[in-house]
Amino acid sequence: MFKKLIEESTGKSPWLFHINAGSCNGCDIELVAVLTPRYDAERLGFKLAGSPRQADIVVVTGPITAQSLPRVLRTIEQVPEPRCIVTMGSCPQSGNVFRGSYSICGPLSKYVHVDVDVAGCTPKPEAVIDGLALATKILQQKRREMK
Amino acid sequence: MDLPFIKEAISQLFSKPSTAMYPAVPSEAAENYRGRIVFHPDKCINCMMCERVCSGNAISHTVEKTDEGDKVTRTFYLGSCTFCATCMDFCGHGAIEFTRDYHMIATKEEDLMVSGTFIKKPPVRKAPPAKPAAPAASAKEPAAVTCETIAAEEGKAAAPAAMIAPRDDGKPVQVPARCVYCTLCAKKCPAGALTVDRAAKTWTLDEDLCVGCGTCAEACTKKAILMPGDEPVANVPAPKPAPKAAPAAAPAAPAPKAEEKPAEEPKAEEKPVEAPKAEEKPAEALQPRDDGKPVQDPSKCVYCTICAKKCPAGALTVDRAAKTWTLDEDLCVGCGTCAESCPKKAILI
Repeated sequence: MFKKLIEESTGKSPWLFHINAGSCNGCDIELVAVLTPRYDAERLGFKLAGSPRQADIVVVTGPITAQSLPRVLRTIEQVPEPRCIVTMGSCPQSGNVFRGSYSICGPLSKYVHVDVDVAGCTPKPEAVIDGLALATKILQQKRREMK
Repeated sequence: MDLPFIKEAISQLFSKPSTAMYPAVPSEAAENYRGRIVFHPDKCINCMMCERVCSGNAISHTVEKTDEGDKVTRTFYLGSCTFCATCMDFCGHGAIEFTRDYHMIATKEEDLMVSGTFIKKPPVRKAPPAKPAAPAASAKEPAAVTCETIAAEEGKAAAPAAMIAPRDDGKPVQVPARCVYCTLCAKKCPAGALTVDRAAKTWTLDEDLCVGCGTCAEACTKKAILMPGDEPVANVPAPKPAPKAAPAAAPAAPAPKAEEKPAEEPKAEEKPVEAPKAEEKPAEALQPRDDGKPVQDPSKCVYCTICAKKCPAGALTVDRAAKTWTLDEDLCVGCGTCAESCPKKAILI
């Protein structure tokens, strides 16, 4: 009886977990701008989770440095299925200007399936909101498929 | 009881929130925002400058040979772009444009690719007949392709001083009498189409590689390269402004060269008359040399070594500690780059 209610509710409040994989901090600041009152993604249900075990959407920023790679993968594994991985900015998609460096292990798509890419360096907060909205749709799709 | 902020608190209570209601209210990016790239393939001349300056290696191209010419597809990967717009700044033909569209959300990599295709036609050969057949004919090749040395030109002084006109096909033309073979154009050419041999005094253009971007003409300090739109010029050394020490209004060419080829051009006839004028007022000021090589003014020079670094021939040695400025006369080609780069104007040429 409550199953349908739970299903609809979870689709309306996906929790985010943010991983910084060697980012220059530009994307991190924009993500915080999305969540704080100016763009206030919380009015759309997005909430920053304290632990990866409570998250639905993982937002990765940064070019995946050699130091951060095992930690990124371990953190993503802790996120329960169904989960949605969003890359923010050019770095996790390609390495951007850091491409070819000895300490860069990216792109992230080499290791895990990436659902949504938000391009930009850094993306505008509006673009991040759009990306998260698309991630939520993909998440609901995945939930339905799991049943 | 004192309530200092009560007025502000009440006014905030009834005012609208400062949150941007984004998905409900569409938001437009600021003016000059650099978002999604738009590529105009019809304007691109495939000079590769954008690919060279791209810091994120976001620009690539593929070439497919067709009957009409090379089919070039240039691709911009927005997932690797820093949106620094350096490619747009370096594109001399306005083929790259940054729009204010920031909606760059993709589920596949292909969604972030911006590409354009154009056909680059092979260059039109001006003198196709008998080129491979007679190697001896190479000396008679059109001036635009391989140019003889200045000395050879002077040897053939009987021949009228040819007017050199820019070409119609957008490619550069060398003015041999102005060229000092400093190789700056060859170093600047993004396509690697120019070969300049300083020893042999040859300037060779590879017509297949040249894209007609005009970088060589811009780089040339002697204005020895003509591009379409330039005025045709006579094949004589460029007129020079009079040196500061002798403020003669009329341009004076280096005297010895003008004397060596008398009556080659009406212009040249005037020069020997004017050139001594410049030498008549020596005062105590430093005089530029007659052979086109630089002279240092020790009173102005701060020994910053910029001239030595800029010299394409490596002919200058500047020691900042010992305050010496040495010119290797054998290496110097007299291009004038040192005088141009000198921030203190301490070099006369």
